[in-house]
Amino acid sequence: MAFRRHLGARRGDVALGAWSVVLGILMLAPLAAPGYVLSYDMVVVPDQALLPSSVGVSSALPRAVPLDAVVAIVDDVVPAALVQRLALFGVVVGAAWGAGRALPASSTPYRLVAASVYGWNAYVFERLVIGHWPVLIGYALLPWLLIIARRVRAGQPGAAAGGVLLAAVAAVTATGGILTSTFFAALVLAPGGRQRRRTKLGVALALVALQAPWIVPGLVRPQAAVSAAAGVEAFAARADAPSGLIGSLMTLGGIWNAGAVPGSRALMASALLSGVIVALALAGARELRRRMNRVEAVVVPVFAAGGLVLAAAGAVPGGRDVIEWLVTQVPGAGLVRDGQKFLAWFALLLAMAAGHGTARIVKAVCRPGTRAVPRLIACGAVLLPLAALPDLAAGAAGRLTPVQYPQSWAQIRTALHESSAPGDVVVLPFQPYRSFPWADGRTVLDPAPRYFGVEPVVPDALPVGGSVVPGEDPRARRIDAALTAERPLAGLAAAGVGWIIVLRDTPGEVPGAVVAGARRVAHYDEVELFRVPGPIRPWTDVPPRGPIVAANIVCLATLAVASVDLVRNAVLRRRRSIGSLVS
Amino acid sequence: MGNIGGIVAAIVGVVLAGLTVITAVNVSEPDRSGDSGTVSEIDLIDYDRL
Repeated sequence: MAFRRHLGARRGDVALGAWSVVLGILMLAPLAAPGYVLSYDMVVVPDQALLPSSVGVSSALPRAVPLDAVVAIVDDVVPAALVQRLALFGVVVGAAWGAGRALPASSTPYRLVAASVYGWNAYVFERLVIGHWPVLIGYALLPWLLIIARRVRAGQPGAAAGGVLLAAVAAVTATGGILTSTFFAALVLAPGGRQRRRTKLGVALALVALQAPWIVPGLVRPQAAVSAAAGVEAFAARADAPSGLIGSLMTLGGIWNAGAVPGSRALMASALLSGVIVALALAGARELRRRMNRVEAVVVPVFAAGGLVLAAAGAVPGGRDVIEWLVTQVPGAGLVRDGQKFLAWFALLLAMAAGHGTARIVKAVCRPGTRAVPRLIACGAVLLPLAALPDLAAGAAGRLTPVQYPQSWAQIRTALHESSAPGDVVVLPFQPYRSFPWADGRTVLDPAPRYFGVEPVVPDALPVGGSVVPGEDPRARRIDAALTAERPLAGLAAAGVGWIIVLRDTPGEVPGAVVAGARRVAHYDEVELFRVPGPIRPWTDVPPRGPIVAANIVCLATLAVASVDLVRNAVLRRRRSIGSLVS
Repeated sequence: MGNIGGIVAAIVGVVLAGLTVITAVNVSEPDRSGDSGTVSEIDLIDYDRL
């Protein structure tokens, strides 16, 4: 009997894993083509260089820290294009698989429902298309952290170390770190459980240490890490479905950028199908609560509610005032202005509850002993998320197709690296986003600063909805002013800029005085490289290196300790199991 | 309960199948000027400045 149960569970795991892989293939099949996927903030380049700004030694806010450093190191071993595919595929498969596994005490068909709801929804579409793949790493790890937290609370040796290592993967960016570490900390540190007090303290300290590489550069920068109030309205969630703002958020959509919204969201039929998923979740909420342990039954709903509140806050009167105060007064609070990303916590609750909701429907409408109807209902519920959002298939309906960088970019990079002349680089037109013909004209964050391997100065003022959200980097502001000044090149040299790259195949103005006065070093097709004449004054108004290096050492030491603990416990477990077999 | 439940499930299934077909047929050319309002009116990346 026990063997049958074990076999059934094993088959269930295989089915869940297989379905998760199928979802990944359906969604990301176009990535089988060679090249790099560029979409809004998703920028991958062939060989990203490890620069001071990669760890936060820069006048800009540490938005992609330490992500840029991790990518720069990893792509020395694994090609960047492969890293991108592994990350995206891992996110989709990991999210679906994790949600199915995390569903407490349920049979395989309902685990598949949870997997579909969590792996295939508007949140995944919108964050993929807008290029926030590090946020999706955190999203995918949430259910796994829930599973590991159960083991930690059960007193399983090594589980805490495993959780810390998973949280570290998400902590490559601030949002991923906050999404996962707060959730894991709440589950592990809540009163009760069999874990020792030492374990709790260790987890708490480790989770803080993991955030150090992005927190410290923000804290020690010469200017306070606060943002403009204008960004709150621009990045607030908004209705992307006929069901209005709350309906959009409840069905996991509502991103601020209309360009990242799937076309199906505008359809009433899709809204009704999404509404059925929410109804399933409502039907299963009580059963889910009953099957979760006491701590989960509090932490998971509280985080879900918190995610909904954060997502809606910037879009409703009163809430917007609070968010505006936070982002303008509290350093680092700019992270909450795009609050829709915190729906990740709500998505996990929705997915698990939908699984149990399906079970409840089956129980309500089917006579005991019947098999065909329950299977049909479960099958329908598994496919419901795909029916509601069919345009997530095939690379988000073609928005995630790989492209190739022009050969001229590599030639300019070589020319730049052959020179030892000092100075950082600016790329003109001086705008954060591009629209290249070789990238199907899609809007994409300028890949040039990462591509050319020289420390860049990047504009961080964002043109959004007819207005401009001011940036936080004083150096970028200074360069923006210098470009329109009477003697632009003197202004650039005084701001530490020695190189100018001009991209001619993207919209935007290139100041004539800049190009006329600078010396052209190389010119390949639509890309030109210029040298700023005269002495270049190094830019020193950056965060001090000492605390940033120390923060990274602390983080790496934490990873080392967690890895050793994980391996040690795995070896001990293996020895024990061999010992029990022998005796 | 079983028979009635089965009939209700079948009706719901047919309705959902219909909605699925409608979504799939229309998704290739989404009409963004319809009910969602904000989607059609707000194009938040300012392409003119690009």
